[in-house]
Amino acid sequence: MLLKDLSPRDAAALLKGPGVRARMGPFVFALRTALPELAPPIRLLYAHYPLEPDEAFIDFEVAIAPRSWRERLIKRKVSFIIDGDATFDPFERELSLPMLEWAVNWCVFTRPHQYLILHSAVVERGGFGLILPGQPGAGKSTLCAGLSLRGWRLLSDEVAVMRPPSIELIPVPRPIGLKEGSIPVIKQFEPGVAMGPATPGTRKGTVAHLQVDADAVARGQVPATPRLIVFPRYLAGADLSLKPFSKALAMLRIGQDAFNYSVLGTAGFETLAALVDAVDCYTLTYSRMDEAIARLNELIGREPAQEKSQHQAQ
Amino acid sequence: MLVYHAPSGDTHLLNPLAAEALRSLAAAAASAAELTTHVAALFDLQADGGLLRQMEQCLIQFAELGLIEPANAAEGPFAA
Repeated sequence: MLLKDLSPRDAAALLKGPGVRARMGPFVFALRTALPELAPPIRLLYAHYPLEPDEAFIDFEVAIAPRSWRERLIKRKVSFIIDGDATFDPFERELSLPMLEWAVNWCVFTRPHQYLILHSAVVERGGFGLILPGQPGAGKSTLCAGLSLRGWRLLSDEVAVMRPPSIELIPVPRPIGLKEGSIPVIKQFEPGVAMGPATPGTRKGTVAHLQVDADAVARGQVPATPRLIVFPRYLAGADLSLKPFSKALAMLRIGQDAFNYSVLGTAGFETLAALVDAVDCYTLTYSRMDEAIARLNELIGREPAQEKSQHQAQ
Repeated sequence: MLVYHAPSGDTHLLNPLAAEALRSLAAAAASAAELTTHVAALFDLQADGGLLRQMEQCLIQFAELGLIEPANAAEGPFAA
């Protein structure tokens, strides 16, 4: 049974009780909250996720709740509680939805060190993976959303996940987070797109999330073979520009931005080097999304160039 | 070239001359003068004082980063 098959009332009851148990790639999450306003957006964003059985092993339990009556009634704040740990600072109740998404991401970013976890969006077409690293504000989530609305499969808009020594890209399908100007851009790009409510006043300004589409959820256990690393940059009014990028610099940049490259030591280096060796690296500057997508469609179908980076572990 | 230094966990980006110097040192110990002759031949450069100073700087930086150590304390580049 999928979450969307539950009535709004039953979905709210499940969230309030044992939690909505959903598998996001390798991880099963239990999302729990008694806040009634969270039930409809969670039911929308996670509509296509099958509900895991009661006996399923839960990797992370993420709850949103006030920790005390004082926090609830006087401060009007709530906290998230991850696997029973409530040490995070409380926040305004209005920010609950983006904070829930943030808390789920936090679990993926900081805990499962059997994986190499890079900070990138990843999409797939024809079995081949496109990795889109990018500093916040570079437009990786916007481009990732655009691609996922034009036939590419979403693996993640936040993390490229591999299990060393393999470089196969493991999906962790989750709602794509859009910020500020990206929200109207995507609404205009795909009228009728299933988007959750926009929440103003977060640390990143106004944010909204896209529903994870049925295909991304259904193929959530199917990895992709890495083919391209493209550093995107949105620049208003710019002509499309796609340039080859040094593999050594790409590796350094991605390693610096990764969540646990330094935790993994030599295994992290070897895996990242193998990844960069296996793909072609580019920078992409764009202002018109359709144009950027057309170029990436063309690029992903091509045979990779045979340049190898030089690396060695001392 | 990228080099991973497991004891510190640091990843270093080396220019082609430094990369060749380190590769050569990984194979066998060498003095700055020997490295100068080696890279000059490989990259078709003049083995002059400038290149020698560059190799000396390389050795100092490699040693500071913990990538190399003197092969023989009495004869190494940091001998008293």
